[in-house]
Amino acid sequence: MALLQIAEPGQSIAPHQHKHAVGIDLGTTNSLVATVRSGQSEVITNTEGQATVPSVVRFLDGKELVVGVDALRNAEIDPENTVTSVKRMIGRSLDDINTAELPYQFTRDNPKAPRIQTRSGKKSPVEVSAEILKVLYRRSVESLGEDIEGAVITVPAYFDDAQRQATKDAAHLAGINVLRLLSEPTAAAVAYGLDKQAEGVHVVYDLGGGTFDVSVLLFSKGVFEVLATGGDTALGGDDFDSLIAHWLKEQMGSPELDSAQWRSLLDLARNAKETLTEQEKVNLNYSCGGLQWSGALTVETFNILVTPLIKQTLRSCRKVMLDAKIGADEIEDLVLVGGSTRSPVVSSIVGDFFECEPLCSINPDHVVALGAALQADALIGNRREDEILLLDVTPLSLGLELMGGLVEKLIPRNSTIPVTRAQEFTTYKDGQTALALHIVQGEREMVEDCRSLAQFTLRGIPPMVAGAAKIRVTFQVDADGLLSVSAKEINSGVEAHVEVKPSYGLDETEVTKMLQESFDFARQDSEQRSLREQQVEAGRILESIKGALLVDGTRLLCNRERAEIDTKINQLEESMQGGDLHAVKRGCDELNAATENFAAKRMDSSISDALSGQRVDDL
Amino acid sequence: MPDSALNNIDIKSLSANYFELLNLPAAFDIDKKVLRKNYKALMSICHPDRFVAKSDAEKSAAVLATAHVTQAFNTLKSPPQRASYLLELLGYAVNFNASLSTDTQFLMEQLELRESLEKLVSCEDPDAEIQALMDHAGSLQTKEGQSFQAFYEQLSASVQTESRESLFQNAHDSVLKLRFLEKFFEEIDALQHKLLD
Repeated sequence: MALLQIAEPGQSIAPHQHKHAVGIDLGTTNSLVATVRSGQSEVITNTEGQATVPSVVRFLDGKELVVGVDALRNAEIDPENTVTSVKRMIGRSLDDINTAELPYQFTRDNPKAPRIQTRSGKKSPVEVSAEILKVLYRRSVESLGEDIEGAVITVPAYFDDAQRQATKDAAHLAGINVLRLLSEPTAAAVAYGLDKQAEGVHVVYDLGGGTFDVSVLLFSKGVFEVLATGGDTALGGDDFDSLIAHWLKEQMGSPELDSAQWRSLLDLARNAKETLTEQEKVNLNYSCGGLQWSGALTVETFNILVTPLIKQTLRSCRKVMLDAKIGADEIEDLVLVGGSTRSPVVSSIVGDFFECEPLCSINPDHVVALGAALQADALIGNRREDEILLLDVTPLSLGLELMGGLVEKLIPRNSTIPVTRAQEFTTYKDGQTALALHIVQGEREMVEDCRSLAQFTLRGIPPMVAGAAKIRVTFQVDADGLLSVSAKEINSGVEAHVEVKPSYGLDETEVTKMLQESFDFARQDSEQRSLREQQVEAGRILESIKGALLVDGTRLLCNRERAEIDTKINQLEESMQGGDLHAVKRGCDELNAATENFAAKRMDSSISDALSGQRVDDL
Repeated sequence: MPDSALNNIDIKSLSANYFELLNLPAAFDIDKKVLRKNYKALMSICHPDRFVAKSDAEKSAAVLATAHVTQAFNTLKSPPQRASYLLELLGYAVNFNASLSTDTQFLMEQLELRESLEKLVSCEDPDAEIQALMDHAGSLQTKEGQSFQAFYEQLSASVQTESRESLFQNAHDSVLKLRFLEKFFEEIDALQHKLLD
């Protein structure tokens, strides 16, 4: 089927439109940012016309650091202070990171939240990622101006809760308002703007530098529905490089290599891989730290080396097709994303597997950011006529530990989000007054085989005989795929309530501390900044509520209700004139509270209209 | 979103029962395509993506509505959940932890299904065997769905307390059998994943 760009001629942009939002692809190897201007999505380049920023941060003496090409250039001579592929580490514990292959010194005091020891101090992967995001955001501000509403940031579909939360925290640290976290394959599908006339099933195969994702999407009547998603968070083009580097080392007679020599060999391997996308053979010359070697790599040898890795991705593809309950013959389109899909051997093996000619008309390095920009533009309300809706899913099952180390799944993988699910549990001992809850993510039956997300204890349960207490545990996954869990004891009127947000070893106070320590904050008067942010927020709320009143105020509100809302609007507008942060904050909260009932009535009216509309259709 | 923020919001159309909300007749036998279509139509209205630039009150209403609509969809999609919900609408509660009242024929079928599943791991062409097993379980599911529908119809029409008791017992058993079959499909699924590891 033919694919169209989403932007169409009918999509005229009102002249007064000033709202901007960006889409950020925070990649393992490269990152980039895109936006929508005059209805067209485009990447934002730097002054030299470069779109991508290498995802590399080098820490210098003092508080200085460099990001991107300059950092990458020095990766070889200063590997310990130059962080590459930080995406492989974000939100992961020390056990998950392949520390042996990396040149960094990791701190081991908190194995759940490892930090890298650099010459400018201990740096968490969240802080390193934030530095990359800051560069991209600064570039956006230079190009679009200060009033950017926010950003959609992409994450691999297969990222677990901790990795998503960590990515969001990195954006927070960089001072970015996150509109939504979006799965990379879904973003790619949006960028291809699937033709509304030809609906059907689409597969997005995304092999990036460090991660592999595959998603099956169904597009129908303006709704993109992710049917299933899967992949491998620790498999990507870097592994191709590593395989080639190991092969090269063998060719060199397996010498002992120091970290700089290994890094140099990896660079040689990557260059060889890239050259082989267009050539049959590449001549190689290695010279580093007194070691010299020259030789050649043919595309046949390369293909033999990497085929096992590609086969490994096909296993994930089979699983995803099983979950989506889709056969290869039902697939309309195959979209290839990620630099690693440039290798002809990848597109040929994957194309054969899905029995489809792969689509790759949009630059595979840009497609994710472009899709994210389109979604960001839609989220801030710039796109009204051809609204599309994305229904994403949870990549992994979410559950609780039961007695004996078994896992009870509350939310199965590939559930459409947002989703809320509650289940009742009980005590197992007489007089038990507390219950420990252990939240895990994963498909296996035993707790030790799943990823531990959070642990908390519900206290204050009134003493009862075993099995008499009713503890209702509620899992809620929001539209970003982030989980929060609450537990309540419901019995004889007694209620206890606890809320927990799973994290990756850093708790909220630590994140706040990092925020305060971040030197961008130190430079500005943070109070001043908070006031400005709160005023922008107040403006947004006022605009939204006034708009709603204009449409539904008379129809849905009685005079008394209307008067109350008007009073709160006036109060908020007044407090906005002053410079009191707390007054503005209070004004927002009060206006929100005063309009809760109105919001509920509006939602009610939309749903009722839809229901009656359907009934008319059916007659 | 804290629970308390959501408790204040009362969206009246959401108090409709799940069948009314998704515009389907209250019956066990439903058109899955219509269910999906109507679910998506509702999601297009209430999804939080439609309210990113709106006030917190509107965002909370969207979260609440989306969660409710998805809960309705998931309940009606699953055969045992749908059956249990139908009984709930008649004022009966299903206990999924209860054991089946004695039904030797179904017990035999359960044992057979389990045995076939265990044998699958070691057989030569598991894909063909899996398909056959799924077809078999699928036909049992269809049959059980029809029995449930019959009990349910009699139960809704019945006025005598005594016959209602035994009809409910039958319907309850039927829900548990549907539940067993749903779990069985999940196990086949897990096995298929395992075979790919």
